[in-house]
Amino acid sequence: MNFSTNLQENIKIFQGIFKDNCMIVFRYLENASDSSLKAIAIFADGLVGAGLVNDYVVKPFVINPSLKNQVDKLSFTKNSVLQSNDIVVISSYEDCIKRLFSGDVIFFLDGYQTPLAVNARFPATRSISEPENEKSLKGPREGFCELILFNTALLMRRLKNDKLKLESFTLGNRTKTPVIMAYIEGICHPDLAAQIRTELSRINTDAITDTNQIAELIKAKPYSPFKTTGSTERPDAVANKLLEGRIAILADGTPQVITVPFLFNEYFQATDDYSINFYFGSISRLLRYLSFLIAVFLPALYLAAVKFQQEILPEKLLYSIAESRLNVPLSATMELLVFFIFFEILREASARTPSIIGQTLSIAGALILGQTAVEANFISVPAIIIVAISGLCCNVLPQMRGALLICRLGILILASAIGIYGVILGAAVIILHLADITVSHTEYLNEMLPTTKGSLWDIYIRGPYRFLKQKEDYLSREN
Amino acid sequence: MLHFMKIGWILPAIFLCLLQTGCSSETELGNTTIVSGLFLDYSTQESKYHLVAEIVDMTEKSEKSPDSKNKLSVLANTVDQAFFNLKKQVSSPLYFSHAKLIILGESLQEISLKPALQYLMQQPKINSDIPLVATDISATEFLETDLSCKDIYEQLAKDDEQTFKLYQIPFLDSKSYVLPRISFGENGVEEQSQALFSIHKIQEVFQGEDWVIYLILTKKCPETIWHVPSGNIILQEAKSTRILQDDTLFIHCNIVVEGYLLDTVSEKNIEALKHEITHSLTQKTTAFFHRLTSVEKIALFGNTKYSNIEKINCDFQVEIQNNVAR
Repeated sequence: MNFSTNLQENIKIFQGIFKDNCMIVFRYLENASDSSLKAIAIFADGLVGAGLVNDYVVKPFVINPSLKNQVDKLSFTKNSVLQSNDIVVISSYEDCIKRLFSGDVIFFLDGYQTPLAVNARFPATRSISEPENEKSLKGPREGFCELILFNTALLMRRLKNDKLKLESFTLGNRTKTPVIMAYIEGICHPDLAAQIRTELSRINTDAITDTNQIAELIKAKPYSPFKTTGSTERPDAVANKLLEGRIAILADGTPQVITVPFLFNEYFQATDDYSINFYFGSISRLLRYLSFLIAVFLPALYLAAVKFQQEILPEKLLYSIAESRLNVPLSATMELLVFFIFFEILREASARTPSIIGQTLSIAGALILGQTAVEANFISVPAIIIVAISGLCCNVLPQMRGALLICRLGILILASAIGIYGVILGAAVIILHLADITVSHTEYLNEMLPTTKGSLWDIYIRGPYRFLKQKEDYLSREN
Repeated sequence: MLHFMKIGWILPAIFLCLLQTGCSSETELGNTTIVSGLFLDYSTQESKYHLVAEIVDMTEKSEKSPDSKNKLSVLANTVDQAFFNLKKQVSSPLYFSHAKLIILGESLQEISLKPALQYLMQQPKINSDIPLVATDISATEFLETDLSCKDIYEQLAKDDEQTFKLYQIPFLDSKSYVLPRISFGENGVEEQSQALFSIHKIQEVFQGEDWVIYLILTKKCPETIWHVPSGNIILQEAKSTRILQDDTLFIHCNIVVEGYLLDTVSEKNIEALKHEITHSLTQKTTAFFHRLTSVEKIALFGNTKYSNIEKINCDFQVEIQNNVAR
């Protein structure tokens, strides 16, 4: 679509486009010194600061006495009249709409076909606060917000480095969401940057409202339950990832920033590990590995022991389980499956309800319903303990929850059919699947079996800082 | 194609697993009859095998005592039939893996343990590491007592640290083997000894010093007290060899002992003590062999060649440890 040199025609065009949008404001302007000098400022109410529009556009244009004497009035207006720090000449209709919804004022001067975009943005967003889901005990309290400008600012403040690159993309045919790909040149491997750049450019979708959509669209194994992109709301975590040679992808409208590549051992790392003493950090990390094993294998091992390999149970435990299962009508498999579903419904319900009611709901669900189910012989006590422990261990690894659920269910079904051999088979399938995943030229399990002595310090434990490698070789081969 | 190749590796693995076990072997806890012990005997009156199974009664467990047990008794012409009849007595599958003990009755020991051992070894559901114990009572007497296999096992296991040893089900082709033997009194297990079986029949019961001599000669010397005229010593370690030449058996044994004598500084005293130990061990060993070789068909140490011995030449080399009170 082309604009006209006639101001009235341009107004008609815009009024036609936004006839059903009450938030688009058309402000007619006339120069006080020369009433023939007319202009219009078009902006979206709420995205611009009212005072900023007055100060940057309205007042300077209306009261300027020398504009009438200029030959190239548009150029003079851009360079000497309007007061904003960011004024650009718009070349296309698409750019004009994008700028308008980003909070710029579209300024048409009568007699000129090309409009100006004047930055008078007033960022309406919540303040920077600590992420609810990634609280840190001793680390920084800052978290990303929904505004991409703030998020990039938080990153730049942490990485005062001329090698920090922030490449801009616009994704979503309808949403035109600004997306930024951040990396540190010299640390990030150029092939990795080129690959992500290509993958982002290939995205062809109507709407991008969340980084998780981008994560799914660029995922190495689209049908795998395991993540190949990291996700965090913490600027310090993203800064650390960039320093390791990874790439961060930020999108406007979401505080979640994704990092690529995401390897299996990252599930077990937490920002807090680096904020506390390395002994405690190491113990926490080992506990996370243990939680993973318990969450995936404990229910299946219980089932195998109860149904097939009772020999592995100590005598007293055997009697205890046998006694508690005596009057339970459901089979051990059904008992676990039913209670797992119940547990997940409970978790979903408490997550979706307001926090205070959610807590009450969890307690009521866990205590009252669990107790009643046992008393009614609907479920045995060991099954409740197994499901509860397994569920708790799932919560230790919130990023892996979906994968844990699927793995646990799969191994549970195998164990119910062939006992301990099912558990072994399930474990083998999981390991084979994980070994099969390659994320941006890097094996998913690469860090789990490190080839260099130094890299061992930050995998299964959090070693002292003096031993930690600052840059990972396989991600930053150039360096 | 690559994906198919990967699946191609997984499929045989699944089939292998399915071959190993299957849904058919499923016996869910809570729906099984847990057997805590077995008593196998032969009823000479009825000429039938007598099997007593001690089961854990879960329904009574919470109401009565935590260890309330029930005993099921069956008679049958064969051991296989006895176990089959036992299965028919209970509504749920029998579970043997946590059985504590298998007690062998006196009559069964005299007839032959072979049919019982054959059945026990062939049953995958009965672990081969369940301890076997011989006794001098019959299954009928066992049924009348309040004794439980668990209690007997616990009492034996407590004594196990000293001289008593529990042995697992022996191999069928063993010519001779030793099993622990117990006698019952009013307070449970009263007397413990060892029973020597040859060709699956009881031949000899070892008690006291005979048992120590047997262990020394089989290189399993227990840490035990040995009486000599000067006082008591503790046998620590023994390494023995047996060589049979014509009708003479040569026994060479290096033995380490610890003495409680007050005056061991004098070499003379130590030599005297060594002599006493050597003399005592030689005397007992000779008596042990002469007594056992007089029994027909005995396969001592798993071999029948010892039945032709006429002379025994013992060479005990005693080493006395000096870390004793002075």
